[in-house]
Amino acid sequence: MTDAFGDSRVIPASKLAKEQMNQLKAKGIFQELGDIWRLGAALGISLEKTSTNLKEMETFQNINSLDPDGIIAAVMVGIHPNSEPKDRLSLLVAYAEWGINEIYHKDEIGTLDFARLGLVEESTSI
Amino acid sequence: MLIEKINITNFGPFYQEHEIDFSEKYKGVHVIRGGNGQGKTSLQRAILWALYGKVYDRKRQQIRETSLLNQSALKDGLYQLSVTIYFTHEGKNCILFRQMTAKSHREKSYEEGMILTLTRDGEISQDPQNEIERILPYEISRFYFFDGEMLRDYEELLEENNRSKLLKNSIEIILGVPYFRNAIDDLNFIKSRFEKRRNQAIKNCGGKSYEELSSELNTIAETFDEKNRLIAALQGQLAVIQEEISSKKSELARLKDVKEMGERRLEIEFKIKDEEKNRDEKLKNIRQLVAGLYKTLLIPISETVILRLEEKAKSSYEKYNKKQKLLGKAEMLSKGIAESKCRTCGTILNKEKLEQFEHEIKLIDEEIELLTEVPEPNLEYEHQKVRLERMKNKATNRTDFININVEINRIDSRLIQYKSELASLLQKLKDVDSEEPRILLKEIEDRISEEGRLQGGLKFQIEEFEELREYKGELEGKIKSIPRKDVNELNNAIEHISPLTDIFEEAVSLYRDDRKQEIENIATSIFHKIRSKDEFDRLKINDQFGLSIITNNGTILDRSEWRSSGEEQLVALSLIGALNKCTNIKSPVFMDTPFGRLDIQHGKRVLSYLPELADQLVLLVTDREFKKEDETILSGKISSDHSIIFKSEREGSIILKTSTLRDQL
Repeated sequence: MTDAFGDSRVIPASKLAKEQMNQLKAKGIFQELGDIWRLGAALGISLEKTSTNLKEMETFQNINSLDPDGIIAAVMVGIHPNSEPKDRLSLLVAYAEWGINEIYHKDEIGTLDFARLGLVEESTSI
Repeated sequence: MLIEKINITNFGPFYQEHEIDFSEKYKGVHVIRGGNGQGKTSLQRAILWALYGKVYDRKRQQIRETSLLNQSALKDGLYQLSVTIYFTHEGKNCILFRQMTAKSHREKSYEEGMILTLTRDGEISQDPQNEIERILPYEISRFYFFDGEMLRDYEELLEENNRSKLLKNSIEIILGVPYFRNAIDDLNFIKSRFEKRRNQAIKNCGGKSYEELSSELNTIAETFDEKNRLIAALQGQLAVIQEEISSKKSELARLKDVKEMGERRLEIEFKIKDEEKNRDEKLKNIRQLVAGLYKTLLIPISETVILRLEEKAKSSYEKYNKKQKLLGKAEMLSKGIAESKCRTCGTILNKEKLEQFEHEIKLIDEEIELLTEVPEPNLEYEHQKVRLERMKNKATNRTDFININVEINRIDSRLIQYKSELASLLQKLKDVDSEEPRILLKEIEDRISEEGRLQGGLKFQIEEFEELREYKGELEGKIKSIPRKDVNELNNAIEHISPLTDIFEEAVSLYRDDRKQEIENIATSIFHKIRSKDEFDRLKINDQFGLSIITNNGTILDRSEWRSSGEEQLVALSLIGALNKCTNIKSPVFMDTPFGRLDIQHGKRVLSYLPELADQLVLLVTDREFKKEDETILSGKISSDHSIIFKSEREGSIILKTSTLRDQL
């Protein structure tokens, strides 16, 4: 396993993000919370968007559960090779928080289109 | 009837013609003497044969005609025997002649050759046998021609059996009961004739009387009305049932549409369910696609990252290789210094060269020092690169979302259509009970079954009704055709006969009781005269005309075994005496060996009574039972005295006046 994130094993998530993930899952679009988190993280990474308003952070899930193939870690190392693991993790959390919020927001306004999600012109966040 | 003279020809022991003449004095006691086997019983049988054409032995077996012919006559070939009785009856002189002539000595021949004539004052009777029966019926002859040896027959009157019934009937004939019975028979005969005439009158009416026909017609009319009501009721029920069937069939037809709607509803519900299941599958697919979508999003970055990782790996390899080269060079320089010899060209190193080598080593070490951070090639970059490259293959194809969404949209479109239709159907079916068609169908089936039953019952009742109507018509026709006046008159006559018959029946009963009492009284009176024991108080008669002895102490000796044979004979004589006193028939009494069972004392008692028994009494006695002193007892009462003597086998027995015989002796 990569040491892209150092010794950290638990990924934190804001209370808001967790609530948003729960609501999305309840709608039946996602099979599990991990799917939302991964999609949110990927969305943030691909669009290079991070949330700056990280409040009420809570533990979420183990990194091995959220990134079993180490893909996200590989990408993070690739795009932030010189960052410290801790910083890299913080960045990942910020990407994910932004992405989850984006997905929730799109779903909320009815524009969540998985076929076009992540494409540059699809971003709706302010 | 009083016998005047008897002629016997070739009968039994009497060969050729013999005569007994009572004409000197008809009435009184006529004594005919004879030893055993002389012919006393045959004489009595000859008289009975003349009267009735048949005689019986002591075993009550009829004696064959061929046995009646005298043996000497038979030897002579004279197949002819006859008996002539001269008697007076009701003031007329009568001659009874019976003759049997045969061509051969065979039964049939004798039967065919039987002659019977009866003249009354010279006038020949057209029906002699019937005349004789009128004078002295055969059934009662036993009481006028009795055998002392057979007196015990009367004991049977104490029992109730066929024999006693015959005797009882005979006694009732003597007592005149049959006169009443004849009257009853006559009445019944008349009634029968009336009934026959009436039946003839209504012969064409089914053999039934007017009353019967009327009664039957009334019954039929009642049944007819009842059937009529029943048919009307059944028709009413049938109409109701048929109306119900019709109504329910209409209702069922209406519900047929409902049924189709129900089926459509089920079909749509099934389709909706199917579509929803399909939709769920699609959503599941989307969820699976969504799960892999993050990889799709990372593909563009990963390509940059992979390039970076490749560069890093390349740089890492280059540094590593450079370090390895420097380490090799430094080792060679160190070995050259140590050996003071160049490892490349073999030149011996001088001091200057050695110092140059040392300086180079120092520079190399410094350079190696800078490369210390890359001890070996960094494989981590390689691994991450591989992961990212593999990720591409596992990433979700965005067009899949489009395709699935298209399908989901189609499904949703169909679902909307189905649900809309379903809502419409549900609205229509809102007030319909789904069980109603089945219930209706069952109700219709039940009513059809009931209709069948009613129709069957109605058909049966109508058939019966028609039969009754036909029969009623027949009866009415018959009643109209009855000659009612005649039939009513005949019915009246018939109805009047029955009470008369009842009266005669009652009269018979009363008369019988009266005569029985009379017989009991007379028999007791006679018994008092001839009894041997003063302890015997009286006789008591039973329903069979049997007589029981009642002792002074009231003991009833009603069983023959409780009485001696002599006492039995006394009782029998008492009965016979009483019967002769009570009867309207006047006939001589023949008594064959009447004292056989009696001792001297009883014999005398009986003998002294006998003259009172009948106007004309014929005693057939043996010398032993009728002695000289007995004549004293009958002194002045003996009207004639004959003896039968067996002469020889050829001559047989002859009949002589006893006085003549005594003279001959």
